[in-house]
Amino acid sequence: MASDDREMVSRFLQGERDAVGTVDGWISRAAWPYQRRLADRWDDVLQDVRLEVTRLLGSGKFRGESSLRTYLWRVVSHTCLDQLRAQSKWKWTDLDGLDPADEPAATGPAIPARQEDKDLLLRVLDRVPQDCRELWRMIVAGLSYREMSLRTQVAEGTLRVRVLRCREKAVAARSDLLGTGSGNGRNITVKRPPNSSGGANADEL
Amino acid sequence: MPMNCDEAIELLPWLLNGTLEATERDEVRRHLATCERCRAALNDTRNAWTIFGQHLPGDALVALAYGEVPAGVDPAVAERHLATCAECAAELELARTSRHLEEDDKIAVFPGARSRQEPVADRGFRTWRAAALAAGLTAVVASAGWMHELQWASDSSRLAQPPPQAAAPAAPAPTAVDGSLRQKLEDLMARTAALQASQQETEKRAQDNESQLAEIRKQSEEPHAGAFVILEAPAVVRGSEEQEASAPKEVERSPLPFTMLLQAAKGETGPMGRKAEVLDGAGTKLPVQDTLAPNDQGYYALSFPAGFLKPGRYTIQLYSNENGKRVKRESYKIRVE
Repeated sequence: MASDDREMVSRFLQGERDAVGTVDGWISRAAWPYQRRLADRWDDVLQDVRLEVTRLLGSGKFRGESSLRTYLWRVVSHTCLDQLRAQSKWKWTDLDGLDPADEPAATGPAIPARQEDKDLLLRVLDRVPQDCRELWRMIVAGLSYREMSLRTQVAEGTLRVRVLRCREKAVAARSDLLGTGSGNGRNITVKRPPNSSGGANADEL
Repeated sequence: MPMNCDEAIELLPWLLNGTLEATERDEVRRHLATCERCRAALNDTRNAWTIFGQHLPGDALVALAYGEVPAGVDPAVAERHLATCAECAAELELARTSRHLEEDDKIAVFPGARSRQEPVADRGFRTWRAAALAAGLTAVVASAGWMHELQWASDSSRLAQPPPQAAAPAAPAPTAVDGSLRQKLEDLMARTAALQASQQETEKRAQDNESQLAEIRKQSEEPHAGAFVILEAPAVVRGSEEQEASAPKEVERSPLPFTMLLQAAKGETGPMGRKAEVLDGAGTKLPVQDTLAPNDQGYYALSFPAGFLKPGRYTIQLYSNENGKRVKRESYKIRVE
């Protein structure tokens, strides 16, 4: 760790006005691009970032692998991106009595939920056609099938069938990557995206 | 009629996102409660939701913004995902913008995003310094260009004019600045304003001169038939003596401006000028230039506008000023045809 950074951390933790001002200036500057997207929550997020920075520096998490300012930029970016995603995330509706825990064993293994397994989910998504991704993003974003029908200029019945086929392709792709059978017993063939590098994912898996 | 499996399964995505109408939602739920196959389909739908709701992890976006290979994510997959996912692409752009701000203090941000705890003096100075550098460089570059223009102008005596004293615009007062640097900036801005005003004045004068020059050239190319009329020196009549009768000089009326060269009476030329008076046949005084000076050849040049003299007889009387007294001198008679 550079002596300047060490001194800055020390002075910041002691609450010296100049050090606090400097660190806060770095935080504000790094967080500035997210201000518009975070809108009303901006002040709260900024305060969360300050608290997180204080916690991290106070617990000695900063080890000087990069400059203090860069370290703070990473912390700010992580926090702001997390906040952005949290506010735009649309969770599926809880269905009383139909909770997955009460369900019979689902076909195929459960979707991995760990952070390190997100790469797998991205690989599955990578195998699904683009039009399917667009349709399902509308669902995840909370659009009704009537709204989607209007937006895509596709008849409601046709749209529902397309969404179902896309769901089947996604589940089939997941089963394919995990080396299991198709989730619903149908024989779904999922083609790789035309722009994907030939077989790279399959080789690695 | 109860909902069948196909209908229920098709509606599952919207059952999960909560946008089904109440009647549809209740029907699907009733069907699910009794259909094991459709409950399995609901589980697949949830899995599909998880898949389609995937985005690049925040860590990966931060790494990409920093120019690193994201850990735990296949770079090729990440690249393809960014190419098709507008949300992730937008978030990466935000992170990159943030990175630029972190790297370069010269990039200004709106005050609203600034920390209230940042020392005002330090903040003000940094912002002002960046602005001053930019303004100073602009002024220097602009001054060089204007100086070049002025140098060109000074080569021509017609255009040589002292630069007018223009008021220097007030520079924005920084909250805390280095005095000498501020003084330099103010000097530069004052010089810039003066040079700019001078440049505008010079350009205007150049345009005026060019217009005049074009007019003169145009006139010089036109025929000047009758433009000059030389009148011989008449006998000088002094005091109250009556001028002896003489035949008037025939002058062709010219549609153009023309000049009469009035030969001074012999022995009467000198540094003293003459006052001129032109009278028409009825004795009416015409407005003409009234002060004439002899040239080296002893002629007084009296100019008339185009069409000024209508056909008829005229008398041109010159006077001298002797000890404050107007004395009648040469007299010329013309007849315009």
